[in-house]
Amino acid sequence: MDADAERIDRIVTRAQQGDREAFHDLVVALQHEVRLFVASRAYSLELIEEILQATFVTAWERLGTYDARGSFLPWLKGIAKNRLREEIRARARFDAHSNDSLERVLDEAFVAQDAERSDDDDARRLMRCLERLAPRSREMIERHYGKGTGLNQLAQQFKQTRQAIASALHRIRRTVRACCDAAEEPA
Amino acid sequence: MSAYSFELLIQAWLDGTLDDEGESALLRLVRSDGALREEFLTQARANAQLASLLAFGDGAVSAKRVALLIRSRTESRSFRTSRSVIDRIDRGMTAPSRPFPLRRLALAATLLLLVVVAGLTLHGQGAEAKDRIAASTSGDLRVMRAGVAVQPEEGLRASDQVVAGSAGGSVSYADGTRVDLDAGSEASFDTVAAAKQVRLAHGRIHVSAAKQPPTAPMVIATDRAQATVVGTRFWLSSDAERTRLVVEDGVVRFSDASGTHDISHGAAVSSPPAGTPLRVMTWNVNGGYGGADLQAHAIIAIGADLIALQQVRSTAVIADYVSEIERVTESTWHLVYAAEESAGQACCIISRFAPTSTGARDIGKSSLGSHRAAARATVSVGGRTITFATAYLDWSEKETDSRTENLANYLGWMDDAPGARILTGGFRSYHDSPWVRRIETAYDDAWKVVSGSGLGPATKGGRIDYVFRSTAAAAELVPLRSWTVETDLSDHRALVTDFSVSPP
Repeated sequence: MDADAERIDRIVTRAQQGDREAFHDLVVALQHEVRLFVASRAYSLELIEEILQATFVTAWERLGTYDARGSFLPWLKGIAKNRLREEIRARARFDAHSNDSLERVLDEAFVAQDAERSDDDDARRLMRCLERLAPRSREMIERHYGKGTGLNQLAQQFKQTRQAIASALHRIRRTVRACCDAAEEPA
Repeated sequence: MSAYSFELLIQAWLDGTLDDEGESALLRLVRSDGALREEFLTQARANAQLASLLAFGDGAVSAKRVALLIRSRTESRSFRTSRSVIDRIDRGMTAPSRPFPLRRLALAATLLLLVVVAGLTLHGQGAEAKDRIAASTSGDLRVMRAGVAVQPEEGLRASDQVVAGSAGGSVSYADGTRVDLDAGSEASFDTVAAAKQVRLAHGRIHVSAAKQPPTAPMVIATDRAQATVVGTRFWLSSDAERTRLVVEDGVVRFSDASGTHDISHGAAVSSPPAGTPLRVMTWNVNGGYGGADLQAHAIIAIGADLIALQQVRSTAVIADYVSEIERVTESTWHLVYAAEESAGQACCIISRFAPTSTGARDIGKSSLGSHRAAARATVSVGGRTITFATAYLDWSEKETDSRTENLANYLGWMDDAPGARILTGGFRSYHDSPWVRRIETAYDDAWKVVSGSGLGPATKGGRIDYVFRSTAAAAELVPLRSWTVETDLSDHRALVTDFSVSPP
C-alpha cells in the first residue's frame, strides 16, 4: 500500500466513524481524480459535476462496506462507473421525450457509448497530450481553461483576432482529442 | 457557412455566450451534417476534459455541494428507496428579513388610506355640491343626488351616486378614460385638483384609463383599498368581504392595510384581513435548462417563503439550487425532495421555515411507464400549522388515466395532512378541466379567489400550474395576490401567491 493510499484510508476510517469533516477532506482530496475519470466518458461539464456529486453521496452512504486496504480511489471509481451507467439509462428515457437541443445531441452520444468500456488511463493520456502541445498552444489552453481568460482578452494577449483565437482553440481541442484517441499512447 | 463561423459558434456555445438564434443555427448544422456533428462532439468532449483538468481549483465548491446532499440525505425519510428522497430537516434557522417591512408598511398604509378616504369624504361635504364632473354617462345607469334620482343627461356632479341597472353602463371622461359599471354596481365620481376620483361602494367596474398627468393620477377607492392609475386597463370589484383588482394592461398602484404594491399586467390582488404574510411560489423548471444557478437567482428575486419546483432533473441539481439560495440569502433553507424513477421529473420543496414533518409519496405511474412523486412539508406560520405540497402530474393528453391516478393519489395522500393545506404543482390541466374541478371539491384555486375568475395568465400555453388552498381553511389562509413571473429560464412561468395567515 503506498503512502497516499494509507493516508486516505486513515481519513476514511475517521469518516466511517461518522466524522463528516473527514469525509469533506476526502472529497477535496479526491474529487479531481474522480472528475477526470468521469470526464473521460462524459460530454458536458454539467454531467461531470452531476456524476461527481452522486458518486460521493453514494460513497458516503456505503462507506461502511469499504474495507480499508488501500483501494479507496478504485472503489470510488467503481461507484462513478455505476452512476454513469445509471445516468446513461436515465438520459436515454428522458431524451426520448425532450425537445431537440445541443444538450440532447451530447446526451445521445453519451448514451450511445459503450457503458462497459474501460478508460482508466484517459486522464493520464490527456495530460501527456497536453505536454506534447506547442508551448504557445499550451499557454493559450492554460490561460483559457486554467485562468478563465475569455476570447477577447486572449485576442489582445496573443495579438490576434477573436476569430483566429476561436479557430486556434478549436484546432487545439481537436488535436488533444485525436491524441487521446490514438491507439497507442503518445511517447 | 465558413469553417470560421462554425468554430466561433462552437466557441460561443462552450463559453455560454451563444444566444438563442445562434444556438438554433448550430443545432441545425450538427443535425444536418454528420461530420459537423462529430466535430461538435469532439469539441464538447475535449472542452469538458480540459476544463476538468485545468479549471476546478481545490474542489471546495464540489465538496460543499456534496456536504449539503449528504446532510439532506442523512436526515431523510424513505420513499421507494432511501436514495430517491432527500428530506432535510435542519437545525433552527433565522428567517431573513422580508423584502420590505410589511408590518410597518401595513400601519402606514392604513393611516394613509384613512386620510385619503377621509379627504374624499370631507371634500365631498365641503366642496360645492354642484361641482360638475367632466364626464358623460351612457347605458343603464341611475344617478342619485342627495337621495333623489336625477336625469343622467344633466351630467355628473361631485358626490352623485351612480347605480348601474341590469344592463350596466359607462361613465366616459373627456380625455377618453372610461369606467364601465357591471349590473348592480354603485360608485361616486369626483375631481380633485384635476385628478379623477372614483369611489366604488360595491360591485365591479372595469377601468380603461387614458394616460393621466403624473401630478394628478386617477384614484379609485373602496372601503378597504385604493388603486392609483397613471394609464392602464383593469378590473376592480368590491363586496362585503374584500376588494379585488385584476390588471389587464399597465401598472396600478394598490394600497391597502398590508401596504402598497405596484400591480402589473397579468396580476391580481385582493385586500386582506390582518394576518401573517406568507409568499409561496410554484415553478416548473423543466430540468433546469436555464441553469440551476440562474434559476436560483430568479427564485431568490421572487422572495417566496415556500418554494415548489417541478421537473427537477436530479439530486445534484437540487443541491445547486439550495446551496445558491443559502449562499445569497445567508440563511438555512430546508429541502424536501421527491424523485420519480426516471430523470427529470422530480419535484421538491424548499422552505424558509423548519418543517415539523415532511414526506414524499409515489403517486402512481406516468404515461412513460415510470412513477410520479409528490412531496410535502408541514410548517408553522404565525402559529398556524400549514402543510405545503407539490407534485407533477402526468402530461400526456392521450394517457389521461395516469393523470387521474396521479391526482387521486396526491389528493388522497393530502387528506391526512396536518393543518391548513396549500396544494401546488404542475397539474397539466386547464381551469375548467375535470382534474381541476375534482381538486375544487376540497380546494380553492388561489388565483380565482383573488381575481374572481378562473381565467388568468398562462403559466405555459394556458393555466396549467396552480396554487390551491384547502377550502376548509378559507378563514385562516387568505390569498391576497397572485401573479406569474416572466422568464426565459424555463418554458413555464413561475406562479406566485401571497397569503395572509390569520392568527390562531
